[in-house]
Amino acid sequence: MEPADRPRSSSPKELEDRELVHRLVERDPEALAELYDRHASMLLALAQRVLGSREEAEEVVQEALLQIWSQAARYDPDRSSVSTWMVLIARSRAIDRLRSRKVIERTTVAVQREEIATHASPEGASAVLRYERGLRLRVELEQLPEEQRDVLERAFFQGMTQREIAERTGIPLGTVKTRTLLAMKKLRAALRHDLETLL
Amino acid sequence: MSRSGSHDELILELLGELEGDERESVDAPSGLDGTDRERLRRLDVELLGSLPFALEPVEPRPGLRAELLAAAAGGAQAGVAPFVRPARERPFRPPGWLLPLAATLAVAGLGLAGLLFGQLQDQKRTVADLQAQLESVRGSAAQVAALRENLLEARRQLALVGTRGVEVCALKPRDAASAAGAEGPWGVLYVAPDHQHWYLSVHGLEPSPEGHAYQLWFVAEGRPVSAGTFSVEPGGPVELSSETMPEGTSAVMVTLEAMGGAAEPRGPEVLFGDGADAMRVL
Repeated sequence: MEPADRPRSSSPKELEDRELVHRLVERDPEALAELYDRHASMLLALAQRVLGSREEAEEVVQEALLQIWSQAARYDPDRSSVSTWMVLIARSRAIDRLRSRKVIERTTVAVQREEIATHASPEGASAVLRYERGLRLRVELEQLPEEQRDVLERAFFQGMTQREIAERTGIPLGTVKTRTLLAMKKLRAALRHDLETLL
Repeated sequence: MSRSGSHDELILELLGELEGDERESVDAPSGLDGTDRERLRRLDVELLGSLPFALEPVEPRPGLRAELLAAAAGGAQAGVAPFVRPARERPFRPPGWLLPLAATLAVAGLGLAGLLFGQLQDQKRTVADLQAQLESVRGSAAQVAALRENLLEARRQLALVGTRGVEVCALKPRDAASAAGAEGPWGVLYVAPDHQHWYLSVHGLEPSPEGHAYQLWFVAEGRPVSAGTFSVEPGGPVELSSETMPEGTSAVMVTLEAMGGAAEPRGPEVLFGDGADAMRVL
């Protein structure tokens, strides 16, 4: 854990995510509140997409944020950005819950194309950046061939292995692997500049 | 493969199923050193972590933030973490025997149909009341969680008593004097068609004397099997339920025992229901 760069007196709203995580280690609830304000709607969208249930999604988000609160000291900035760390924790909890209730079949049909947002009112520079990041990602995802986007979304939002995707879709396993890699490669190339800023 | 969500596992999930040379031939330029590979891995991790940003954000409901902060504050004080719904206290923990209760029950007592209807109305009112309460106390995490659990329980009970094929058994005192009293205790036991789920509603019981508790028994194969003890709030009905019932149950009864319960009935019998008098009403 890197030390916070700013004095304790700084308002949480002025701090970067990484500094907020440092405040979490010091048990500062205002830092948790600020991380919630910045990321809860995105985490909720993720959990709802995975589980197909608003109520369960809220429980998952709460559990994930409490895990982040209690395990903030485990965050390693060399491994990922804070937002990615939070996403992976929330996704893990959502997938675990999905697996535990054994209803992947039920949610498979819920995987529909998300409409591109037509309006938003982000406040603050970091919110604008997150909004723009999401917008660019949506555009790039829309430009992916449908079959590549499909395997990527099944893997990420439903926790399916490539073998499971192959069995479910009837596509050869090697084709699934290739489509996944091509999707990752195209997205990485298109979004490289954005992703570099997170490193 | 584990899906615990750690970074490496996530990458393995999406990319690691390829053989090493298989992936390199498709993806990575030849001659990458360790630093470059690590950077690629980081980019992949951040790429995956960015995928939820493509979703339409979902605004959390009002109150979720306060609940989170309250839970965090509670966890910090008690040294416990994650949010867990408060468990509902259940008085009944019998072994999971199957029970062909229906085989011993005969259709009797048309008045039970009216009783069932009344119970259904009570349950509907309970659900409506709980829903109204649920709305009024939003913002209080503990209250909301408890009410939600009560609401779910009430819905489960409502579902059970409304199940086609549910069997109903009346409980009343066996001594004629108490049974004849209009103010005396009485109860209704609902048994689901699977003969496992049951729900018991008891009315008119006095609060147990100090140092004593009521104990529920199922009589199976001629022997009483304890289903646990329970207390009574002044003026309030008692509602008990469970997902299991002893195999061979032919009767049910409530006795008054010393606090903590007894291995076999010793205290006075308060209520009794004979399976032979049960009826199927739906």
